[in-house]
Amino acid sequence: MRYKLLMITMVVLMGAVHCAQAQKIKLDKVTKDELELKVYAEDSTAAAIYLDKVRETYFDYKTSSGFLIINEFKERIKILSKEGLDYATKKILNYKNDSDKELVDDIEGVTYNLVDGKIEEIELKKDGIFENERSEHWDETSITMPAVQVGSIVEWSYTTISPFYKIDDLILQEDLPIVEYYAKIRTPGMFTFRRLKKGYFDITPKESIVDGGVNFENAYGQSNYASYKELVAEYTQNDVPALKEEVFLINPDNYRRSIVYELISTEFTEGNKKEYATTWEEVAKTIFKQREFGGQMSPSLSLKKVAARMVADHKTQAEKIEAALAYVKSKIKWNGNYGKYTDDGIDDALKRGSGDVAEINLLLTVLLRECGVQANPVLIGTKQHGIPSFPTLEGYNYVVVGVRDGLKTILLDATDKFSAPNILPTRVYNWYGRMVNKEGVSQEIDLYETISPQKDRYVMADLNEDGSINGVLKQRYKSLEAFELRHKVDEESLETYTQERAVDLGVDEVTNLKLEGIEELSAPITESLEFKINQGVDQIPGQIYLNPLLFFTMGDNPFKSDVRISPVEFNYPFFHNTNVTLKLPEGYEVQQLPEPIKIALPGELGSFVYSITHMGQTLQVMTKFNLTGTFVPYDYYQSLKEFFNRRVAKETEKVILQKSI
Amino acid sequence: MAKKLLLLLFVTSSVAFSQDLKLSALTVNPELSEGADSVFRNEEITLDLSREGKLKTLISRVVTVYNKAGLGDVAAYVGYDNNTKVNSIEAYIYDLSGKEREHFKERDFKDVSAVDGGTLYADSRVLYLDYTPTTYPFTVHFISETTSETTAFLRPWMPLSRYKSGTEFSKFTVIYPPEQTLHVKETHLDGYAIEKEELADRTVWTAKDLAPVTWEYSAPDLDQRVPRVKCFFDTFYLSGVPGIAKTWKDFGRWMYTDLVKDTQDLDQATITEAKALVAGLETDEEKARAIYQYVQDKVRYISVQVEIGGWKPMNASDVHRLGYGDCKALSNYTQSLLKAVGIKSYYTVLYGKSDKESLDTDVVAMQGNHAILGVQLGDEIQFLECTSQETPFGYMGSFTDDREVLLLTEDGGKLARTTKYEQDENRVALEAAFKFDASGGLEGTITRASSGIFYANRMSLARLDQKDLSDYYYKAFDAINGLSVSNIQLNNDRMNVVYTESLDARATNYGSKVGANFLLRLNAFALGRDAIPPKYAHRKSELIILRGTTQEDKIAITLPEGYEVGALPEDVVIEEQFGSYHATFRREGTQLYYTRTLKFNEGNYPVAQYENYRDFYKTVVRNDSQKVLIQKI
Repeated sequence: MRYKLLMITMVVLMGAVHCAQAQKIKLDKVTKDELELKVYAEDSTAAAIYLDKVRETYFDYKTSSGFLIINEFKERIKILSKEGLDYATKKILNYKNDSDKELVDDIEGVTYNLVDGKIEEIELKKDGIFENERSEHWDETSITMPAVQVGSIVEWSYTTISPFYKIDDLILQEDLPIVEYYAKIRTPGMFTFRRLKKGYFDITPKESIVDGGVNFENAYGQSNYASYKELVAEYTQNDVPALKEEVFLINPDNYRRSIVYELISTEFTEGNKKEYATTWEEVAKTIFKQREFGGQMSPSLSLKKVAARMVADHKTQAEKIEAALAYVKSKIKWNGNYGKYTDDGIDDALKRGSGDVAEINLLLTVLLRECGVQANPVLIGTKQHGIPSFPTLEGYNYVVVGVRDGLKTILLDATDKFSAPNILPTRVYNWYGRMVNKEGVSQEIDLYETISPQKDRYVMADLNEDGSINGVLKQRYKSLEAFELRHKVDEESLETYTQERAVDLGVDEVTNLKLEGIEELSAPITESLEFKINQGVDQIPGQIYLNPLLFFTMGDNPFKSDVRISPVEFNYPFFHNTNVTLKLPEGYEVQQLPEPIKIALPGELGSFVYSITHMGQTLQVMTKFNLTGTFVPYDYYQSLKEFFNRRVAKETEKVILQKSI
Repeated sequence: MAKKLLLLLFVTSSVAFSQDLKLSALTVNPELSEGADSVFRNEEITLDLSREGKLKTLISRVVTVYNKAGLGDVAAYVGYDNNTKVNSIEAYIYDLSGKEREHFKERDFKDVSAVDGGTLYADSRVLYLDYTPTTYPFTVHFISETTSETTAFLRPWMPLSRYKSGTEFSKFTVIYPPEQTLHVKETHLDGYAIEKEELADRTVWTAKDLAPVTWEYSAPDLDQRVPRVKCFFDTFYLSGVPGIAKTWKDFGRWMYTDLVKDTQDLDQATITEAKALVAGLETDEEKARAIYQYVQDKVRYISVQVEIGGWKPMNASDVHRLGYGDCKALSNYTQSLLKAVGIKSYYTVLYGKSDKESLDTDVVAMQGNHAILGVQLGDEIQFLECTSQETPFGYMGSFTDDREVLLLTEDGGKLARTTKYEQDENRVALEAAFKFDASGGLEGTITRASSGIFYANRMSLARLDQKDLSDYYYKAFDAINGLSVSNIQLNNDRMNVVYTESLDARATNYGSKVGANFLLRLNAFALGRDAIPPKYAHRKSELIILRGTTQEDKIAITLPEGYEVGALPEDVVIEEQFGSYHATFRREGTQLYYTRTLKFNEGNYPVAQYENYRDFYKTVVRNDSQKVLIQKI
């Protein structure tokens, strides 16, 4: 899609003719102090720092191609250590498709060194610029700076020219600290953008409205000038810390400080406004107008026939859903590509037998509707992508199918062979989805409400006087827990799985392992196995010290770090119940039992219950652990760590058995 | 002569498939598909070198694929670059019954850059088949033909080229002008149905019915376990440049003269600068250290693959000006500087790999994937890794240690071996002094000194910030529950190549409370069960311990007032062929002393030893976790 100025219908506001081009960005001169800097006080281990990260974005117009988005970048990096030398190389990625591509131009660079107290400047030459194709859709331009040493300051500037109406995200946080960030974004009044903030930070842009304009040639080859108002937004941030990776964090990028610009409307001629996505209704309507989404929603003749047969063979809604899901799974295999829009379209995908997420799940939607089931697409932002907090299409990168069932919603995803109603691949479960229909009605769906993953574990075992333990374990896997197990045992033999179980449980032998219910995709799986532990307790003559939860003892706190920077994320909420019944050896009696406890996470995020009883030679211990959310804010970290500390302390507490004479 | 002619006439007919292709998954020999992700039904690879300076490669490969993991086994791609053209490429897909389902022509293949993310520039590209199977099993027939101006690297033939993949039939043909002599290196052919036929202008190998092989822990790499044939000629072309490989001497001379020599072009100013650097220094070693330090401070590693198939170093003068280069450029630059100050050094070609792969020294050929520099200091050669800004002078990590390499000397090529670290040099010495308190907590100090091959594992610690560094210890010392560390000191002794870490440690709940008493594990750094090597029902390959190592732990624990220790465990002595374990337990008043020495001996051990190796680890884990009862008096 390209926007061109048309003859005279354009709103031409006569105004002073002035240049649309901005002054090139200028930075202050590099100082000796900066070159002499050895350590960045705010982050003493930083290998390098951005002294300046500056950008200006504006629109230009070319008669041949219409409006273009121009980005001018200027970055200055101080190298503080040898590891920091890697940052003397800059890689610029540029998107392209079959007809258009982004270009990089005006690459300039300087390395500053302090030589005998004087500032020396070495310019980047052609031999330090490389162009490569990274993949089908991405070109890469690399710059590597000359004569860089520890202490050097490198600086480069370049311009990108894009025919795509996507203003690149403003990235205010990098893997290095940023001392000064500045961006100026100028958008012509005909284009209205919404701005979304990602990550934890506050920013208020300085905004103003100025006169702008472009020269263009009309259909008669006459040169015209179109002037318009420009919205200028300036963003400033100082001393931005580096982004860090942490455990229990699915994608640190989700928390990278950035600003996203999304086009919501255009108005080239007065009163002729074209909306893209300002409200959820608009989001729904907009996506249904796309050929690659709504355009896929009319069933072909052959699909109608398939549906007719399904309706004839299956009476209830549940049966129809099962049949349609099985049909789509059998007809199109997932090619691994995400996306809410189809790539080649449903028909091609059917013909080929493989397709992307949208092709597969939109086919399922159409088929279900044709069967008389009220199915609608549900837009999802996967875990890797993040979820939107404003009405926006940009926030979604995946689509599944939703069917209303009374007050509940049944979700479906035919991209995975083991999926079932409300048992979808884990990538899908990221807070909320949004069900949309053609009429512009849209509804938020709490994804976690549709699932109830659970593990129930029952152990019945005998503790022998020599310290060995043998018994049986029965473990029931529900919902996503069963889904994950199906994948696991599909990829390996039962023999390998049995061996792995022995290693996982830390027992010496696992035998007679059986899995029941593995074929029935909506049903739980029951695993049963027999185990033997050669030495399962600590002993001194006359006494046995026993961990009553055996291999289900949480021996180690998974949260070891002293501090936390990002939130803690779990894959999905769950229940884990454990019951261990132990028969104690004859002639021993319980001298001491741990006390029961119940502890909870703040904000009702989860709880842990431990209780233990004994009667005669039978010892029984029970734990319940549940997590209701998947997201723990970083300021809850110490509570979370302490919660697990207390759990570990409780679970590792020993039962003392005394030999009676 | 007449005989030869006849043969020549006979073989000029086009390369045709020697047998009917079996395309249905139903006809696979079950012995070959048992536990396999795929089975090679018929593979024919022909390397045609009959035209001077050209290598034509023909591949016809029929593979039945059983699951997603086997999809990659088809290897339905060819690489190409400025010197390699793809003449044709196509693929057919057959269903279970052998019926053709799809035909992919050249334009259906994806054409993308084959440059990895770390490389700034290289011209290599790849054409690959992007196919999502709709059902398993299915069969693919992949056919390609390429012509290259590089004949220096002839792909080795491995009739079993993938883990978990069987082979029904594989054929390898090398065609060459009769005046050329083919050198062959065949390994692990015994015990397989492999035939070889030598004709005047070609040699043909065929293999039948090879059962799949699976990956095993601490085993030799696949190519050291299964049949492999490597071919070499006395002359070759590298991106159109002719080369000689009769002897290592000739080959080395050619490489030096044609690829390296012209690039050593430092100007007078740089030479003067280098001389100034070593002014006043006496020994060659001092001078070489000064030059190496200068290089380490000045340059950085950048991967750029351009001239002559990526084998010609960048000019030394350019490295000097720009301050960067790849392994070849930086080794060559360092050599040029050393030369300027009168120190002899050799550009050195080798395999950079952690499995100690040597050059195949019994066949002279273009080999290796990395370059370092050998410096002549008296009778000794010290090797320098020039791509690192931090590696100490003469230090070789696991990427370059103890293997056969080629030195390019003024007298031509010469084989040598890089530095080897022996068992007592590969050492981690850990000392800890703790106070155990009456609430079950532990507090004290830990120091750890690492040398030899272990030094490299610590080198990057200084890069970590406090949080990442403490997290590193929480992982490294995870046998201590609830550990918290502080006051971390890192001491990198680059001169003696020893890395010493010291830190304060504290843990609550280290001892398990039993009534008024505690159970205390003396080895705070005990190995857990996850250290035990995996179990194999039928392990096939020998056990390899690549480097001898020594780990020594000394732990002292002071008991709180009012407590005494019960019986101490007995000392442990275990001696095995592949290693040993010694643990001692002592008491002096309220002090407990624990020592533990764990050694592994370098070597290849027969497969029967593997279970002993596992048992050894199990014994170590059991002994490591021995506890004593601390009783309240």
